[in-house]
Amino acid sequence: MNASMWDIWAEAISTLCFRAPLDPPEVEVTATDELIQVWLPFVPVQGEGPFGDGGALCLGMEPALASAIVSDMLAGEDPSDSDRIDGLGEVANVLCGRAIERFTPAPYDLGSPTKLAGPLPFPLSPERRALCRYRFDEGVCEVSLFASQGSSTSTEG
Amino acid sequence: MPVNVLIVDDSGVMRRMIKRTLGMTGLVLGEIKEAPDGQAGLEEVRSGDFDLALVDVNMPRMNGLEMITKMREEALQVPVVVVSTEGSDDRIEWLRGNGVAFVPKPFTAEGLVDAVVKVFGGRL
Repeated sequence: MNASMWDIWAEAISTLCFRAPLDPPEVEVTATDELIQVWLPFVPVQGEGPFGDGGALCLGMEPALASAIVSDMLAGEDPSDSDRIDGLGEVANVLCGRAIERFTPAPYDLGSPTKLAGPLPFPLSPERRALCRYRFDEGVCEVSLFASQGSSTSTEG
Repeated sequence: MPVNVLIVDDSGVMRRMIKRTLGMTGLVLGEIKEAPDGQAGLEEVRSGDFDLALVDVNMPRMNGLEMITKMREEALQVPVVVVSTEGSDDRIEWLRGNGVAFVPKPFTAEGLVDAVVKVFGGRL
């Protein structure tokens, strides 16, 4: 799954802002609390899928990288703080939509991206996740994919 | 004749990206209005005079599919292009059945231009 996430990210980021992550994909990341984090929950349209009754994608990015990526999305405009969160939310939305499409035929409804503040939208299973870290000239970011607690199928792979 | 466009997306960054891309379509653009959700978009369609609506799916208050359903119920005949990550087969089939074009996110300028050109056929 991590290799697939790499492909998904590379495609999304090159289309959104004409960038490609640098090799290698596995890099040391700064402490999570130094990243701007955007969470995007998702729930199945009907019944349960491989992510159980839901899950979430978390996109964390160093502030300088977030500014650079959102500036690219805005054709060079200097993004405001709210633009950065908004733009990262849109990147998270694209990543999550593509990831679900790639990993499961079951349809899921995506929620609205939110900056991490307070409790998570629902209990997540930390052991059922894909984690990818990426390096760009301006910094690093990481993408994590969580299934809800109680999901019966592992998404690790 | 200038084309009046409504962009409905809860992301202000995405609305600006779409607006910029529209400038590459060759369309002579008239008024471009924006709405942050389906409810606000529906109200704009009811009160405005639009030639094209570009609509996201996942939005707060009212999503894009609900907005399109309401437009059809109220016989609001504005051509719609859905621009969304929501690309499941069921959703695309539903959109086709409702005469709605679909552009997946992340979109390329060419992809959006193609969809808009198709909506307008030979009238560009």
